[in-house]
Amino acid sequence: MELSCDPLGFPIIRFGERNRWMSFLPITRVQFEHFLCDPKTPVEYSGNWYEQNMPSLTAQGRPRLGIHMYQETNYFDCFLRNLDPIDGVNNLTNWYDQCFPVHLEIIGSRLPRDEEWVACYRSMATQPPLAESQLKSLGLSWRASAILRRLWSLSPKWNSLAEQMFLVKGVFEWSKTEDKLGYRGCLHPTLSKNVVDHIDPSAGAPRPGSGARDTHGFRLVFEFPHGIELSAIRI
Amino acid sequence: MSKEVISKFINDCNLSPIPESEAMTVVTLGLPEHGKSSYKVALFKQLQALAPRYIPNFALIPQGSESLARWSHLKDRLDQGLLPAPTEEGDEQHLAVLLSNLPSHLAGRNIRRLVGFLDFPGEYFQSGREQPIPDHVMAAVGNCPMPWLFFRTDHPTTGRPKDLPPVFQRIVQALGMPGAGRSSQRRPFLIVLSCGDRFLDKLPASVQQYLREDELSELQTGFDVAEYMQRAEAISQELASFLSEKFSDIAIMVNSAKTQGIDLKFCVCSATGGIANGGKVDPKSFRPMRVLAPLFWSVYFQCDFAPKRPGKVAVVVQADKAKPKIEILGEQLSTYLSSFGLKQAYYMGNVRTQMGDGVGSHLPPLNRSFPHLLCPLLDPLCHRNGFSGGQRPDLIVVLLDRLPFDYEDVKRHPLATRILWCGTELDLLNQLDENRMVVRDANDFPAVQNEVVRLLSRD
Repeated sequence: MELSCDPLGFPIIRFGERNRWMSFLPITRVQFEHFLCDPKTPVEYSGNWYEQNMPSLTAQGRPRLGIHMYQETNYFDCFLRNLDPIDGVNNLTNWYDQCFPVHLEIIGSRLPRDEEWVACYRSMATQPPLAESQLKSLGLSWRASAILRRLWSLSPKWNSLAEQMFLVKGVFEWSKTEDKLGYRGCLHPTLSKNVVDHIDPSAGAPRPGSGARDTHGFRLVFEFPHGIELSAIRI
Repeated sequence: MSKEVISKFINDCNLSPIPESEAMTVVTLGLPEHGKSSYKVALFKQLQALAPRYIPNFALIPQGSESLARWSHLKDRLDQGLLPAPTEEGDEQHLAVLLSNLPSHLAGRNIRRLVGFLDFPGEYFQSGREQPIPDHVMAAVGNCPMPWLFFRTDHPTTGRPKDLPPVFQRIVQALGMPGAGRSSQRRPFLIVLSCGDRFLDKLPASVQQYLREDELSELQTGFDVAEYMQRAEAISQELASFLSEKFSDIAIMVNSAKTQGIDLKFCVCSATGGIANGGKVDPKSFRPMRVLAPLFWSVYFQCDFAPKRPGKVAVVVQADKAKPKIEILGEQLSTYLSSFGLKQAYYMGNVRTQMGDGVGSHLPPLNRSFPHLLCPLLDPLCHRNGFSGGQRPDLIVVLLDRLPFDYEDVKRHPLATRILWCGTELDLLNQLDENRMVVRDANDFPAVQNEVVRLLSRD
């Protein structure tokens, strides 16, 4: 298994046979804040867009949580939620594609296909959790390290890599089946009283859904041509 | 004169608000009758001779009514064949002048220099004097990148070589440990041997030749500042060795300066060229010798000395919806910091404008460059390219009237200690831990300027 970093210094993990990588964590609001502040970002995201569209993630009404403030009951605030899964994600992925160095010739970034998400989950569920020291040579950014350190400190024991990646007890995560949107994942109990497990593929197709939702986040898949090597560490 | 008062003096002389210029101070120290006042008039005369023959378009312009009056007085006296009267206690003859169109190879990007000449009575420095050197003098010395100590060896009562070290030590002791807080950065200090014509034949041959040469002729087109300063350095070393070999007191002084973190330089000059007689001179035969060298030393060190040494990078980040008074402060600060190596200025959440390396790039108001408001976030700026083309800034001045969304994270950012928060609301600033200043409007610029200099001086 290989780990590398996205252009913001957040970890990504290789999965499957092809040169495809998935966000190690659901996309965090910190990553999205970088998108908001980039001159290349579409003008529609300027001004009060953040406050108006993601009030729970900004300082409106209550203090925006700093990384050091994540607790067992609020750590999902770390993950980006309430972004439109079509237009919003498209804008973000277009921006991400431009951030990768040209020599990596990225084919593109996108939402995971449902089968990719499930395959990734199944694979990670059998892997042991990582030790923090294993990531030292990865070149994570300061903020990515701070987030991982804080999130991982919240649990005394992780049973698998899937848990450490918050594929479980994170947020619902958008995925795609052909052109339809659905979601997988297992929600943190605080986010919803109706805790429903949408992980297991034996439960059938992903739950259908659309539109921005406060319980829904996502990961991105980054695909590169065969033969292009990312700087990575083996775990 | 406290730091604030010195800032006010500089400000009153219109030094800071003039764009595209860098303010510097020159502090002249030394015993009574050791040539400080005479030197000043000789320097101004020599500077006036630079244009148009040697440095085209160069101009020396007194700044402010007080400086103009003092300047006229000096000129009138010289026209009458009189050297300046000694500076007296309570009548310090400070002068502010603008040096315009300096050669860029000497002055770097800032070809305009606003120079505050701070002149103090020699009585303050007499070693037998019971009163300590006044605080305002030491504050001026402390803020001066390269103080000048005048000493003339032909003075009948205080001109023996052994009279120099006590004056120097008195100043150094009053300063405390000059090297403290500056780490490897040694503090330059210039000893000016004045009235060089009087002991010309006692000097090493190379120094004699140096002093006799017409210093203006060196400033013709093609003047190479590196060569000029190399020669000045060689003369300094020669004088240090010569004096140390001849006089053990001076050898001890030179060694002691090294251990105290002082980069001691020597130069020699003559204000009148040997024609003075009892304070009177013939203006027509007035021939200053090597009086430009101390100024060039200071200009040179001003380019090189912390906090303005190359490599110190500062950025200004301004809240997107800042009040107009904060905007004005931002403009002033950006102009001022451009002389420190400011590369870019930002609105919180985005790049405001590229500063480039041009002289005095001005920042367009927000509504011209960005028609929309920006998200008040600071951390993405800290991350993107490490600010300013990959070079981590030594100082980030944040002008704000609301906190960025991500201030809790920024407080713990590796760059957090380099941030100076300037806001209009005390309640808002109280939420921050350190390096915070309440500012009301552009009148607070000198105070911000002082804080910026302090923070940039840190290692």
